[in-house]
Amino acid sequence: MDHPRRILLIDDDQGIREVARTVLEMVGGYDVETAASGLEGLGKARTSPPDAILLDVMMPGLDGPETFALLQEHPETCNVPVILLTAKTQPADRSRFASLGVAGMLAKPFDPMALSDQIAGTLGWQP
Amino acid sequence: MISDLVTTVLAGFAWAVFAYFIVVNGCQTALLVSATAAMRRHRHRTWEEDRVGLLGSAVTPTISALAPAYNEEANVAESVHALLMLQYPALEVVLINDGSADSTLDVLIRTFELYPIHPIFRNQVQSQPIRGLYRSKVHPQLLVVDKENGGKADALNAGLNCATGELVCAIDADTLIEPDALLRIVRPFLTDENVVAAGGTIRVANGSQVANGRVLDARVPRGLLAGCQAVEYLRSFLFGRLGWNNLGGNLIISGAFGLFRRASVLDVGGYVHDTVGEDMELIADLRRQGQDRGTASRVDFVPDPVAWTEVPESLRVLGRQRDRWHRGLTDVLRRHRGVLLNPRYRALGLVVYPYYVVVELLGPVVEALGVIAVPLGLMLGAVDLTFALLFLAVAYGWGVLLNVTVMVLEELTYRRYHRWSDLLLLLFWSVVEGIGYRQLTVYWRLLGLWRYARGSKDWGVMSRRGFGTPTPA
Amino acid sequence: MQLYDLLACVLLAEGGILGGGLSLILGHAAFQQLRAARLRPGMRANMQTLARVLAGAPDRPALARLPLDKAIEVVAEATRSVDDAGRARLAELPVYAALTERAARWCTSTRWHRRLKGVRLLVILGAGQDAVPPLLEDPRAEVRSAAAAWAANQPSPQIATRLVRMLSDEALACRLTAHRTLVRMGLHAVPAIISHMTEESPASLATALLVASRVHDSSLMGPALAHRNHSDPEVRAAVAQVIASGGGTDGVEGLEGFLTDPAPAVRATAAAGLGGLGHWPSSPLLAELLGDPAWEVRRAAGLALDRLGGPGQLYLQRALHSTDRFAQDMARQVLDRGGTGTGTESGTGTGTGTGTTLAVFATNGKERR
Repeated sequence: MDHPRRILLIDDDQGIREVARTVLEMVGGYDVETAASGLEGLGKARTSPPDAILLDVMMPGLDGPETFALLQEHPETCNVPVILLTAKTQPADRSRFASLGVAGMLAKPFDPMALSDQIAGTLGWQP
Repeated sequence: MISDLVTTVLAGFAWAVFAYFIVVNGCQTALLVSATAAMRRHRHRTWEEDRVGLLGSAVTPTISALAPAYNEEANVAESVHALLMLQYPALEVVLINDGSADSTLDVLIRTFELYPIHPIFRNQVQSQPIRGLYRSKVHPQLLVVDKENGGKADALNAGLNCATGELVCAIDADTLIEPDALLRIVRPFLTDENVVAAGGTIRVANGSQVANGRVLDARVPRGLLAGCQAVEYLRSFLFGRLGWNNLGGNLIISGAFGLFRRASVLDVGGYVHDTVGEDMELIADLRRQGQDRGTASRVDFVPDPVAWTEVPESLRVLGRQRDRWHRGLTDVLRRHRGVLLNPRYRALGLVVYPYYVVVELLGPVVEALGVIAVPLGLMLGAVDLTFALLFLAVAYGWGVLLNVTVMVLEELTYRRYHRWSDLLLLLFWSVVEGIGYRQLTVYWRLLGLWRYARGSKDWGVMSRRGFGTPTPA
Repeated sequence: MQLYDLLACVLLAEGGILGGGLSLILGHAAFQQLRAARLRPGMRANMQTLARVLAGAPDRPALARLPLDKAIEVVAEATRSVDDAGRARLAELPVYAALTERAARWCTSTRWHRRLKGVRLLVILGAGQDAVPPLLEDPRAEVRSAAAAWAANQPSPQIATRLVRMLSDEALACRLTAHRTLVRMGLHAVPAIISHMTEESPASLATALLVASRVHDSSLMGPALAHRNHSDPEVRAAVAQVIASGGGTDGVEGLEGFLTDPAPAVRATAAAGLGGLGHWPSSPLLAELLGDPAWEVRRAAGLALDRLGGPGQLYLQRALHSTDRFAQDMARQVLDRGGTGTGTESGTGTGTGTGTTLAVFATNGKERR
């Protein structure tokens, strides 16, 4: 592939944004853009749709599922696979999120080194 | 002869006011010292505490957030959204539509795709009949209770009946709870089995930038009334309530944001209908009956969970609110008069309750008498002018000092206002608050006492502007 | 005249304190602002370096020197969502060694808040194998509890045993943390829990059983069943909970046996458990409980039947024409409920006390399926 794949990371926690961005750029060789809120993420996703979106569930304002619903409404972004980042490990939430139709879920805390492999695995991308 | 007598009485009275002043200030100093110690300890305990770990935990008690709504079609959807967003692993949001005359219920049904469920609940406390229960297809943790109108206490009782959580959190519709506030306010329940209720800090939202049910940028209110109230709230929460934690426990938790053990609330019969201060009454009931039965009875204040509320900016509305608060306080103290100086209730009967009677309830009376007596004494020559002026200056200075000390506490701990302009404005308000504003509250509280004595129990309509903001497309 | 002097003195003192307070506020604000501005570049750089190290970068660039509180802040921020494998990579950094050493020293302080700080810092760093375990015996509950939370990522048989003992700690915080940590330890905690099941005190035994019901391990079933005839209803309810979480033929028989238990809490747990296991042959027994004297048992039986699919529904339908008014009422309530059989919604309303806990369990069990 000529261009590196582009991933949009939407998370309100600055630490997570920083770590995940560094990891994904370094280990996975992806091109990573970040957004600190659902709204900012929506804007960025619409102006130039990425190849995948990493979306935090717990965010102020628009939360993960709501942002996902809005992404689905737009023709430019409805086909972009979305992976939810969730701190909640309770089965109830997981099944609820799974029923939304997201491409996958990643639990926090994660191992930064394995993150890009997990994403590639979830989306069926060749490393 | 007569003028001699009057002079003696007035001089005696002046001394009485002076003594009262000493007592009150002594209490406040004790509270301040206690609050500082409590704050230090709390900060130690919560340093880098793993609250996120709680999120994934299976042993965290379920919290049901009870939100009564009456004719709130304009912002009910946004309020519910904000509640659903609260960080807590086992959260149930119970919205109680208290027989709204507008389309509150329709808005909810449309927005959250509600479907009716058969009400399986147990009528454990009295409330108006429940017309129906609804669950949401999109948010399974949302439960909507539709009931006949019966007022806020009644709506909360209906919510208590239908909620399933071990803990319940009563939330005013016009209050914005910070996302991590539940994780913080639940703390006392995880460390002490004797806790029946916990309260958080309320801050004034006027002037701050609010979007999507959250305060994005905390600002100090620009208006005089709201500014004075910002200082007043800071003082009453940061040092008043916190100070009581070590000195016998709180008697008040703001109705706008408090967490309760549901079983205990049901045991005392829920919220009382026929009072204007139902939230205070509940706390007093919980503490008193808990001590009567020898079960859990502790009420804790936690400084770091924060809820923002919009305070009245018109004299008329504010006056009604304070009048109502004071009638509520009077009613609660009257209902529980058996506690006063009763050694069976230990600190509650010997310290907390007497303080509330002497300082909170009768404070306005003494202050008003002072305002009348001092000029009179001056006229008759019973009180020396220099003395009166000095005394006034000392009293005013004490008030400012108290405010500034609280600002120091705030500055050294939470620092919610980041701009210099806000800091200076807040300091300005804390100086101004003692001139005019405090006297006004004295007047309103007196009015409340008077109206209580006359038997008035009406609520006084609170007109709210709400936090409604256009939702982003 | 003395009074005047006194008042004047008080006024002066007030003025003095006021001046002090004001300068403290303004001075502190100014200091914080300047400090933050000065340290911001260093913190940013360190954050990026830490992120690279966490991601497994081979180079080890030196970190900017920061004051202790800011250094901790950066590490805490960077590791917030990073698991232990990731944190382990930090161990190669010099700053990590320095912080760990500092934290270990704090752990031996005579002041409790220092020790607490030490444990919390070691949680962030993912270190402290030597420094923290002794603090499980700390006289302060806060410290014990923090040490127990630390143990979640350091499972060992000794620590698990100590945590099981902490289930009967006098402080609630310690009991809850021990409970949570043991559940998170999962399999590592099983032997310790089993050996604790010989415990005399019913409360302690019941807690151990409740932990067992969440750990989900079949080897816990036998020791739990040994207590099925315990005299304390709380213990029996906990046994029912363990069986319900495990399943199996033994389990079903055990639960069916509990349906006639004298304590309502036990009957309700057993009914909810049978519903959760989806064991439809138990339908007739559950249908009998629809007329139980206790509300929470009727409700648990009704919801359990509802979850058993066809056979359960059949019994509920039949109960609609029952002569027992209570059974009829509960069946009507359950059947009228919208979204029947979707199994995603939890019922509303429970009793107080144990009833509440049961509802929570019932909901959890449902969702686990």
